[in-house]
Amino acid sequence: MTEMPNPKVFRFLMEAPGVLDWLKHLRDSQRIDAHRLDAIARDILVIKTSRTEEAPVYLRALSAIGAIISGFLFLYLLYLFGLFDLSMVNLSVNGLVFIGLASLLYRLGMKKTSLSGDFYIQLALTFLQVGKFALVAGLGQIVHDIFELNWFWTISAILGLVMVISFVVFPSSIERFVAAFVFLASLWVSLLADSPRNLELIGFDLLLVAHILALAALLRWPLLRQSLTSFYDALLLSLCLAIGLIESFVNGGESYWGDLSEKLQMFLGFGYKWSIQVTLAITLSALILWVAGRKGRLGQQTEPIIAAFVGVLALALLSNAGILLAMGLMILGFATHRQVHILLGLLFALVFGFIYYYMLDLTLLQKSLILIASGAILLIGSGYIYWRGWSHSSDEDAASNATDGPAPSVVTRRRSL
Amino acid sequence: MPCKRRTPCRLSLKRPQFWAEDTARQRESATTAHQRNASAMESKPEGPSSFELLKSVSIDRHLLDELTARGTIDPDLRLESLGWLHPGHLWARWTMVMLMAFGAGLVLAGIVFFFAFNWASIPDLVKLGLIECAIILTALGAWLLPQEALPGRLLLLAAAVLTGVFLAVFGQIYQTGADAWQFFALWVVLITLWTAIGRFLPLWVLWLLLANLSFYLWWSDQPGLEDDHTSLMYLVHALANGAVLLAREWLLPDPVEAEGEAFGWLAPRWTRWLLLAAMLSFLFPTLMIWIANWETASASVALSALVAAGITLVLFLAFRFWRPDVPALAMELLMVCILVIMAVAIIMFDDIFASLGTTFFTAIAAVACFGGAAGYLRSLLARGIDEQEAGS
Repeated sequence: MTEMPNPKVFRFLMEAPGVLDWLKHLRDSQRIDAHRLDAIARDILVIKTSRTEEAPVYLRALSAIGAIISGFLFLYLLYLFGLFDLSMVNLSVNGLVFIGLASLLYRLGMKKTSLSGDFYIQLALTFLQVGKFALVAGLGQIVHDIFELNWFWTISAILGLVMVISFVVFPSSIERFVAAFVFLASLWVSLLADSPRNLELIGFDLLLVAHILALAALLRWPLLRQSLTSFYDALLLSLCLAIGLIESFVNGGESYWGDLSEKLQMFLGFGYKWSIQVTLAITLSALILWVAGRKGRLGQQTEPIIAAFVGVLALALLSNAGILLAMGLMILGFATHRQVHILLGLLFALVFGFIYYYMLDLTLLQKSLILIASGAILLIGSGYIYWRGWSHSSDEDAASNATDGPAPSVVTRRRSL
Repeated sequence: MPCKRRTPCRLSLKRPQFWAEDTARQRESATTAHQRNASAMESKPEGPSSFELLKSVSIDRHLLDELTARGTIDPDLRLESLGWLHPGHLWARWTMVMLMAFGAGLVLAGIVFFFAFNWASIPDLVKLGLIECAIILTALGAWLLPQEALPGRLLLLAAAVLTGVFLAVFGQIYQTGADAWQFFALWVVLITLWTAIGRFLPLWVLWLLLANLSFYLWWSDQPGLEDDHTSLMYLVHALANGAVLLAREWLLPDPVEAEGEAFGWLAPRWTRWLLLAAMLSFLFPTLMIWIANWETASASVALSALVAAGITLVLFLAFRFWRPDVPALAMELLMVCILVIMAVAIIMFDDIFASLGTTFFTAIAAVACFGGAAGYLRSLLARGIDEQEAGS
């Protein structure tokens, strides 16, 4: 009988192997003795048990949807009660009170073992939405009136404060992620909507570089990343938003910059495209080096790395920022076993690939030829990897993989198919 | 949201045995410890051992970094483990798959563009001939390639899609005057056999989409079946998708150990969730129409809502007891919570309170519903009723 298809056939792309596989590898390679193996196992258990495990994502999503609905209802209720007719100071204080109350209820709910705990948590999430809204509304007016700042930047600054408060008082990853993403997104929006046009380019570049440096720092220091995972995810999503905005901005440049001189328009278009693409290409190259440049392995992988750099250079010269970001997301997702990032990268690659070809100023016939040619180049690249035997690994890799690779069963099945 | 309490933090529920034996363990010889580890890793556990507890834990870059930071492993071992975690050939294979997928996609898109550009100048017979050739070639490729090979299945999917393209072009050339539903229905009929023998989930998804669409368009085209019968139409849709869901559950007696079974290809749980989501998206409007018009609803609307409520109850019992599945229950409870909130708001605003009272009680109902649903699901997870949990 024919072998049944293995539904896990492509999971080698995404899933992290088990700890037991790794321990078995360490044991078989005889790099460490049994006592140390035991100590490692014990430490992993300590790490896992000491960490607060979160509920599955669908359960958190259910609570979040409920909180959004009840939050809106409570806000409307408070509006009917006249909360928003209060003075700005009162509104801000009420906002802080609601946030404080939410934090207390949340902690209380976490301690409860009965169903009441879940009601406390739901109520806490609801009050948090109400508190944030009141705080942003009240404090926004105060800051705007006192410092005479623009509305957009004022709101961004207060959303930053809300994010800090969320990280300090509300130990919920989904809540922290939302707070961080809203803050970061507000920065891009403020930059786009409320800054002098000749500063936009520099502002975009600086913010882009700040995002990338923050991500690099979080990758460099694992303990920091662990405590700020929500921020790390928000940074990545914010980067996606920004690149999406920039791409639309550059593509729609003519209408947007209609009132500027032709010279300045050309500079802005050129500047946006190339400054962003060069930044992302450098980042992608650094990411590849970070992933591949492990001690003792860099020397063995010179050719694949050079090939990867050539690919990055080609992408930087020929494609758009969205495709570069998509590649980065997929590599990062694969390196850190974050499936969501891989899928996000895939989505970006499809969307921006489509936009790229759609926006080409060519006839349909020319586009079709370019599509076929670029597809053929990618297929040749794929064939080259196969021909060079990189996908089959070196003898050393093959030997180790046959016995103790990260997912030997999957790899074996993949070959059998 | 953290779930310290009744969540499936199984690691924290049992104290690892070896912690209690620390002192004695230290006295053990290296050989004994090694043997113990080896036997535990060869999965012959008796009682909860540390290795059993570690079964559900995966190793990734984060964990390696943390172990290094704690001093449990040294930087050299971390580097070597990173190499083990992502060997060079896996990176290359990943890149190869990506290049192949994108490359094939671009070439196909280019071919489509090429024909689109020259479409007007191509004779009708050639247009149809080209598509027919493509159908024959893809079907032939699917037949010649090994039955279980992915490329073969992809070719079969391509043949199914091209069948629709052929019908569209045929209709365009000869102006058959057929209704839209007839086009989709004929497409469904023509690819049914391939779908049945293909055992390929994306092909089934396409088939179901087309079947639903053709039925929807047929219903919309019937002059006597509008307005008041909308609820009934949604209900029929829900029942049709429910029948497929039931078939899936029936054909897959043991979802946990489906690999190797005749219908093992149906095992991915997303197939169940997709069908359930389709059902719920048709049950929701059926119930909502009745709730929004509960005082004036016709018998047909009320009856449809009653049957929809019954189906919802059956689904709940099925995924609670027959095929325990907490995510499926979460989907259902989400729908029920929204319906309850809408019902509270509509009934209170119509008959009992003005804005203030209605908003207050609806907000309380929202907190109670979602809090209760989350608490219930959490308790189910803690009891390990999920079949995936049970199977792992």
